[in-house]
Amino acid sequence: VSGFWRTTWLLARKDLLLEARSRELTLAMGLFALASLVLAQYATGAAAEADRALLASGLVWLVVLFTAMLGLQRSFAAERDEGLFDALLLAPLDRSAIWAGKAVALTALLLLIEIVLVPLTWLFFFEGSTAAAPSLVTLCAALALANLGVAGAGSFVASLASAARQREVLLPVLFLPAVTPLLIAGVAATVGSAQGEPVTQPLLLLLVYDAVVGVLAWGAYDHVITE
Amino acid sequence: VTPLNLRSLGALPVAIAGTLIPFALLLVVFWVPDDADQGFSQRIFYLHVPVALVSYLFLGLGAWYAVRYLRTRDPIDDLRSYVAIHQGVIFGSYVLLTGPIWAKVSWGQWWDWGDRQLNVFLILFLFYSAYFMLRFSVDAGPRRATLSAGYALLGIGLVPLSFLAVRIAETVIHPTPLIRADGPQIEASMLVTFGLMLAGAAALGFALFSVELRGKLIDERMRRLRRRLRGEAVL
Repeated sequence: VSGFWRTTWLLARKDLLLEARSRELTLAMGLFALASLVLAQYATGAAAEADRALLASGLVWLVVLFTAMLGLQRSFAAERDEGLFDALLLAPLDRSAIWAGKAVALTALLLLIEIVLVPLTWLFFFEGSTAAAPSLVTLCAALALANLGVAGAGSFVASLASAARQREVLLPVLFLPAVTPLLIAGVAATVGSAQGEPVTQPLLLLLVYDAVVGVLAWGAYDHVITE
Repeated sequence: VTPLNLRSLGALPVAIAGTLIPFALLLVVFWVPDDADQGFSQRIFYLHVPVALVSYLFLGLGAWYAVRYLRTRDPIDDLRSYVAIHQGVIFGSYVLLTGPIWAKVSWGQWWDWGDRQLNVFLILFLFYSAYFMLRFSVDAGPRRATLSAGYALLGIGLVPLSFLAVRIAETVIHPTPLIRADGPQIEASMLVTFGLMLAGAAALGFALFSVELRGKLIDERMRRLRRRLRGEAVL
């Protein structure tokens, strides 16, 4: 197991180092999130103030998921295009670490994006609004938990899709239904906190999702990986 | 591949389904009492719920064969997994058809976003439709079988997670004041009819499953024979 964590860390560090040098993906994801948020702001412009606050609680989750999808599109691209994948398969390492490394790297990227996205959401939707805003602590906790699930499930399906034809088209179709429970729980936590309702259940579900998907992907990845 | 015979075509499930379903339909129309709350229209329950249970059964079977494929790497298990998921999705689309009809008649709206069963089915329907997209984006062979099995495996986790999520959505996002009349006030005649319909639907599912599996195996055999006729090497 210690070998698994070490390999995971090394592979994640490799991805993050590549990203730190090129910054291509971070910039693209950040701009995409910003543009989506601006569009969301105009799309809900006609709604009453209280409704817009509610809508924003859902839209921010949609933006996070779509931004994650953008990151996943490139997730295994380098591995597939440059033949790195075959090298990884030949190497004597715990193969589940290939999935885990991708998931860790994507989690870090998502965190980075959300640090910008959450304040902007406040600025666009809740600043100066009389409607009840969701609790910032709850939203951040929910996003942090959801990041793990999004990255875990996303990296798993991205790995499957990367071996198929037309993988760019395939990924969203595979990814979105798989993360629907995450969105439902995330929105429930966000809206619930704005309305002063208890949010333990949705947060717990996010945790359960992470655990279930993590165990499934970790256990299965070695068997489903293909060259 | 064994030669065609009646048993392999699933004659027994066909016979069971062919007897039970018409019989149970007669019971649904003439025997069971009207629901105290919803009246005659509640009788769609005897179609909707058994079909939903059979759909779950086949999606579960599909995941089970997927796990088996990953252990044995036997192509027949991949085919079984695929056919089971196919039947699960077909029965699932019946659920998505009968559900809104029932909802429209008894609640006055086609789709209730607070309804647990229906929304779980919607998520699963989308998820397993993507299964076919994935499957048909890869050429036949071990790679396709492995990728399909991996995705089907994820479905095992998604079913309970969707249930929990939809339940939470029901209470937090869509508070529904509807009180459903199910539970202890069910009558013996209702239970018997429901049981017969469930058995009939399950038999129909297995009949369709074995016919489709059989057809796929024959396809595969034909392809090999054609290749051999052309003088190509066959594994």
